[in-house]
Amino acid sequence: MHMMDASIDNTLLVCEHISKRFGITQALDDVSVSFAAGEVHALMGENGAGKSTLGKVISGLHKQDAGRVIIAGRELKAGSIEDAFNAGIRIVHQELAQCPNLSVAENLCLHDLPRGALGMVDRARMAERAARLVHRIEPSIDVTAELGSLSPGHRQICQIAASLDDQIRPGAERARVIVFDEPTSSLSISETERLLDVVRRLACDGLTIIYVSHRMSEIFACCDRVTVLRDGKYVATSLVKDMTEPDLVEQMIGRRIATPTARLRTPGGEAAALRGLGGAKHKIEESAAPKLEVRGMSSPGKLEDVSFAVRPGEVLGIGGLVGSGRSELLDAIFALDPHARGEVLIDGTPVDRSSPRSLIAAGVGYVPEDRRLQGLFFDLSVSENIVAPYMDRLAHALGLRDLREERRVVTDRIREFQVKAASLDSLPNELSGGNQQKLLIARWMHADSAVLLLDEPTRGIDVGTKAEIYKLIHKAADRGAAIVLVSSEMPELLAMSDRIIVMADGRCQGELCGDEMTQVNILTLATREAQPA
Amino acid sequence: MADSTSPVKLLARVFSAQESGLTLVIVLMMIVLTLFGGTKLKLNRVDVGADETITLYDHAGHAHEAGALADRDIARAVVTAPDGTERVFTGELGYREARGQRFLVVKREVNKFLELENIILVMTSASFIAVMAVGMTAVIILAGIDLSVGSIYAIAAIVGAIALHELGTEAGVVSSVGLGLAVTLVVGGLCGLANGVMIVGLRVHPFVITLGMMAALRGLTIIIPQKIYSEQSIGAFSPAFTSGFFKKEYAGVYPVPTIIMLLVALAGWFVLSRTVLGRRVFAIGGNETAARYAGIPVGRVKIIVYTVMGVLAGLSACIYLGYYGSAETSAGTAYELKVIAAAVIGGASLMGGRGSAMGAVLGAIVIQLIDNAMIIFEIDQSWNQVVMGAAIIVAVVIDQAKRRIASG
Repeated sequence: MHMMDASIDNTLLVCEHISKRFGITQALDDVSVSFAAGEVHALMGENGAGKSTLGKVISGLHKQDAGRVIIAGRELKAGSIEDAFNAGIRIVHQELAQCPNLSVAENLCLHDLPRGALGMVDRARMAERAARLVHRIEPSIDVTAELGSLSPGHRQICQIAASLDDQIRPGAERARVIVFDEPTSSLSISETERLLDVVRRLACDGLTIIYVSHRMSEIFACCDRVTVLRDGKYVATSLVKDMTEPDLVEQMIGRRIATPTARLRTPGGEAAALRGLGGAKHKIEESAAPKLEVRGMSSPGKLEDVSFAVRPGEVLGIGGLVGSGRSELLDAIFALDPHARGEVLIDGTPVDRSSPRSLIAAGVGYVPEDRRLQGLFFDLSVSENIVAPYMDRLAHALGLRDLREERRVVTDRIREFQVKAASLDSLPNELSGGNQQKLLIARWMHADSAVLLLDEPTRGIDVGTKAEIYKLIHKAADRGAAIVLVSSEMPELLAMSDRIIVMADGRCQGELCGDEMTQVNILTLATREAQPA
Repeated sequence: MADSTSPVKLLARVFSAQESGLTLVIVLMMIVLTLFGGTKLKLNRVDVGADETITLYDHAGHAHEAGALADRDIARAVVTAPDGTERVFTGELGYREARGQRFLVVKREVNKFLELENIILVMTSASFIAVMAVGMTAVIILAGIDLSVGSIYAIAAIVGAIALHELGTEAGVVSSVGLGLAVTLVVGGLCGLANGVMIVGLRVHPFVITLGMMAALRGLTIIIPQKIYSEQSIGAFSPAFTSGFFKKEYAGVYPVPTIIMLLVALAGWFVLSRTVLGRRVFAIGGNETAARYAGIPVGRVKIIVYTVMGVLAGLSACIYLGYYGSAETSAGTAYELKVIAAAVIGGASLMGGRGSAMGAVLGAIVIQLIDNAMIIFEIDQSWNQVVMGAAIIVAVVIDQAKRRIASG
């Protein structure tokens, strides 16, 4: 009955009263949605809203506790990947599930390697079949190349190609439904555009696309309808053309919030200043000595002579495309790249760059790009995750842990950063993505932070948590910390930064301040050298 | 919430703790061994001093002089000291005299398993493994492996034995134990350090480095005593080192190895959970990249852990020297498997990030209980390996199944 507002007739897939519980979290609570043939249907919601879970229930990766999934009148066996596959449902994963050490062709034919004489693999036939699948979407991919050598975008395209294979085992339907689970999280801007194009083409061919994402721009660019979930509950299904961004945000969080373009920053208790709306600019002591200075940072094949300075209270944005050397620059500053040459000065004093420890001692904190891979310890408790870098400084003599002091620090941090965890001993996996990110930021942001290096600090987290993180970054800046912010989200970069340097090919292409800071200028600089000469 | 405190959840929690599961297994094994292991006759010799008098009583209750009754007629024996204190013995008794020494033979029927001497024997054999398994747990938590422990144990024992042999049989407790410990721990520590430095410095997988060390050290273990004594076994230590310390008798048993094992377990638990080093080990094993990003000195921690592993292998070798009073070049053969098995049965995950020192000790006890069960049930010792192999697989499978249930 909640389909009234955007009903359709050619229903293919129906989810009826789906509920799913993980431990104490009710991931899905009596959710019913219908999907039509030939539509791109977005599932939206904050992290932990249940959108990924619903996608996984549909494709049989998760077994629902209650409810049914029906495709073309046939009820699917709950939690059976095989049954879903046979019914024509495919999933394109958030984490790419492929064998990077095998060739593209082998990956595509892995379920049914063509055999020749003596049971040997018929390489020619395999390559030909793979090429037929892949080149339909992206002709430039070499199917004999090792999959791991491809860009993330091309790897994703290979995965989509594999899901479209119609030479499948007997008894199985061709693909009718494809679930995309956060498909663009590791893609660059141009790769994302190409992917959205592919998605639209697939829908035109009559496939049902279930598009799980929280990127607004993608929803508006390629989806027909959007279903919003909140805290595991169904909120609404609407036609995308009838919706605006604020409408969707309101559905997702149940209240209206400020978008990141409205910059709210109150340095020293001054009135809020809104950039671009003629408001007073946030005051940074123009004459102040730089807090952080980077001189001539180079690393073979990654960076070439990057220099910049950041004053206390200043947010320096680093723009550029994926692969332009932004994360590599932060790694080099934090002494994680042994081949990097160059100088890092804090308050005018050069810092020993033999290991990250001396930088941590100097008050530098680094929130890396990938919190699962580079950030959190999933076997350690929430509290140990926070104190990990300076447990030794809190400790008694001989490295005996000061549990009371650790607890005090952690309790303060968790309160300040509003990390929602059942207890200090919870494991990071029990937290939502947004809270995991806050946990990681809480590790590095403290009263003594002199410099914060933030690499995509709001990647993969929901709107509400993003706003909180923006506030925390401002707070740190107001305390006099120098902040270096890497972000692929243009509005975020523009709104948060006082100045922006743009990188391409490991070089600093230019610096933008004040009115020069526009999306067009950033993209122009970012693509200037990146294009083949 | 109401359901988080329900008895079922609580039980699930208790069950899911690795140590409690293992303790349960050990208790069950002990119960089975006690109930079905049967009994045996145990002979105890009780020496009687020259100034004591012995009175034997027959089944009718009449008193007799020592030697005046046949063994089967003795119902009770009373030994009276000059100051009037009496020692009373019952059960199957016998009276003997040999070379001017008078003594009573007391035969008692005891449970084959549940008897102090047997239990301490199990613990003692477990201690050689357990001391090393605590170190191995740290190595495995680090997502590493050390295949060379058996060889480190052997070379530490041989070098220690040479030192003790040269020290002579007259040395006192302090000098002999001090020297023995110093030599074995330093030799073990150096071998471990070499492992650590090569693993970190050459960036080669620990499996390869320690596999190489396992062979190389075993070779040296054979070469060294040949060069010096042209013998395969080195003994003749000061009694102060053996019966004066590592094999000191208390109440008819030799508890020192067991005590050392428990102390090492306690120390291991403390270091792993309450020190910065310990938590860094968990952090590195759980996510090495994140550890680098958090500024944890990954290489240094690894070198320390492999060195400690070597030191513990040295300690284990020292206990072995003291308990058996000699070293063989074949000592510790295939110990790496037992030590790794103990750590894994104790809950250490070969993927890194999980494990406990207490679990490792319990794992070693399980392995020795299996050994003991084979003896008690009089099963051919050749089956030993088969049963132990099966036990390792079963333990790990149960552990994983439990984890799946716990994570839903």
